[in-house]
Amino acid sequence: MIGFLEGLLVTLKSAGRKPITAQYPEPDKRQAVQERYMGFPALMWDKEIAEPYCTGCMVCIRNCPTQCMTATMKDNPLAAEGKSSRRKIIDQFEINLGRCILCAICVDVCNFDAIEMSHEHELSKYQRNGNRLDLPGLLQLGDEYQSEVSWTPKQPEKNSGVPKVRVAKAEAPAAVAAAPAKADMTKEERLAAARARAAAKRSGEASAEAEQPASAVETPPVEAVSTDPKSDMTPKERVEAARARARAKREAEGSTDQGTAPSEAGEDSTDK
Amino acid sequence: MSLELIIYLLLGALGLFVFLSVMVLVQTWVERKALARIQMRMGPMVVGFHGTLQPIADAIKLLSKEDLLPSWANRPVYWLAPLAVFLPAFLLWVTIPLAHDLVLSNLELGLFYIVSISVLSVMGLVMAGWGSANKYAILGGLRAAGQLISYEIPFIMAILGVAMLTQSLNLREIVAAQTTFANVLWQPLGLFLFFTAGLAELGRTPFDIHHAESEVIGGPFIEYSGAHWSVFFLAEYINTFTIAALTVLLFFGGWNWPTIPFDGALGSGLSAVWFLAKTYAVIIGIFWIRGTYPRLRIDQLMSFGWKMLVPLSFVNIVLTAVVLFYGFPMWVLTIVSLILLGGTFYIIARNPGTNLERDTVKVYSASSLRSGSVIMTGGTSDQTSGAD
Repeated sequence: MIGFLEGLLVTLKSAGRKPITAQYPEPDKRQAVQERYMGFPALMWDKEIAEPYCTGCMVCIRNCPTQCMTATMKDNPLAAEGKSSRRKIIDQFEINLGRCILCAICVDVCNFDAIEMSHEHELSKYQRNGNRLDLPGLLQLGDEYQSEVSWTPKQPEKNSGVPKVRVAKAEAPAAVAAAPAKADMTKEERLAAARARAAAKRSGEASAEAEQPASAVETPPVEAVSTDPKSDMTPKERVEAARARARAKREAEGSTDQGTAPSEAGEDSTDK
Repeated sequence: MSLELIIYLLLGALGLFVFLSVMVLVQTWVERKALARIQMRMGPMVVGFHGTLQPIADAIKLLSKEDLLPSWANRPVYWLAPLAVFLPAFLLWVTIPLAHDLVLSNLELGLFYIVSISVLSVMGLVMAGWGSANKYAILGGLRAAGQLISYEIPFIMAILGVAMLTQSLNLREIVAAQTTFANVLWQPLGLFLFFTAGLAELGRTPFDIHHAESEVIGGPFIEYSGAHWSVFFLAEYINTFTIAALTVLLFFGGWNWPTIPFDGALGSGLSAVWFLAKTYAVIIGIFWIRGTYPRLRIDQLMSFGWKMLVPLSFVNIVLTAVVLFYGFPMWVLTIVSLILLGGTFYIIARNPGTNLERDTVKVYSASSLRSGSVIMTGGTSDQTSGAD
């Protein structure tokens, strides 16, 4: 019998509590979704250059289990003007949200931080194909999401659209001189320095080789390819070439960076 | 029959209908809100302030829906069933007073009239079940018949205790006899019996086995839609209102305010308001119970009715009779009644419904007979016999 009375007490108590539901269709009474809520996919907007992150590489389309996306790619006009580092850019993109199963595989496979699961979750539309979103619609969803969660790309350095600054030949020694202070540098500074060194090396490589004929003679095939880093090499070939270059330099100079970490050693040795 | 009388009757019937309809509309809103609060929801919020106009919207929706007729239905029975349920519920209110003067016809045998008319609604439910030509409907109708007839006995017996105490079957006199002390003081057991049996008569949770949605999918009402369904609905809520009003009239002193007597026209209005306030308190209690308890199984319902309420109601009558006959002081009645009530609660707590150990059908095999072990225990014998 105590149980019966306890039951009545439980319902009485819960009647005194504040309702936990909300008036759904009213826009001002909706409850916000959690920050990590995974809604429909949306495309991110690169605010630095004012263009989408998406390059139209189609990896998301190939990996989509429901094949709810289509896209086309075009040459990036901004890249042609030298304002963007993206040579290709998305032209048209369509996602059929009615087909999307919100699995986030597209987000996982994207190499350009271009697609994210937004907070959008409402599918009801008055038109039959109203939940097909084209590029402007996806970008608008993405824009709302970006401002809601103050989104930043996961790989900011790799996927920055800002064109890479080519360091002039004269500035190279300055970049190299900064190398001994490595221990105090943050990761970003180190990356920036490495990039500057790489640029310096690329521009100054030909003359450097000319000053050291002995090493040049020892590794003629490597020299031939390394003069043009953007030639059609497979990644494997490029790595081998870089290793050969490094070996040649080490032999020529007879010294390496003693105090650096192993992971940085390979990088550093290329520009000495 | 004079013209005046005819006009009085027509106006009275119309006024009663309007009054009851308004009460039903208010009740549906109160019920939805009360259940919503218990479940930490908001309930209707859109139509009108906090959904106050929701019942009207519901009524318009129901009346504009199509009336469907199953092709195998027995037409006259099918169409008359809502009326057979609604009319008894409506007729009861002829003699139920809102205040000393606010009553259509104050019958000397008011309680007797109420008891005899209220039984008739069982017929309507069975008719609905039969006429629908639907197996769930007929099951529900038979369940309703079994349940309502079983619980009619403790219901009437509990009323009898009050009638013995006040020496009247006239509701106005019963209320007048409670000006100093309400009957609940002398009849706590009677109140428990009356309220429990009343809930079962209404078919409300936890006794709603005849329209149990999860078992017989709405029972007798399964094939009805639109206006005819809404007539059943109306009757059900009028019955709820009736049981609450009778509880107030018989046990909580009707329109009596503890100290102040109400006189005159203004007094009648105040009495009616006070009476309705009490009635709605009881109704909210019914909704509270609905929001708390799950439905009883049919065997539990039957064993609770016949093994618990019926004997207790006889004990209650005998107790009241002994106290009245020998002129014992009234507090003896209170104390013995409370002790019996406590004993009832104890028995309910110990044995809700069927005694599984006793009623379990044991199945033996030849080998298990030798070793003495039971290999399988089946359903209970009460379940197989059922209510029908």
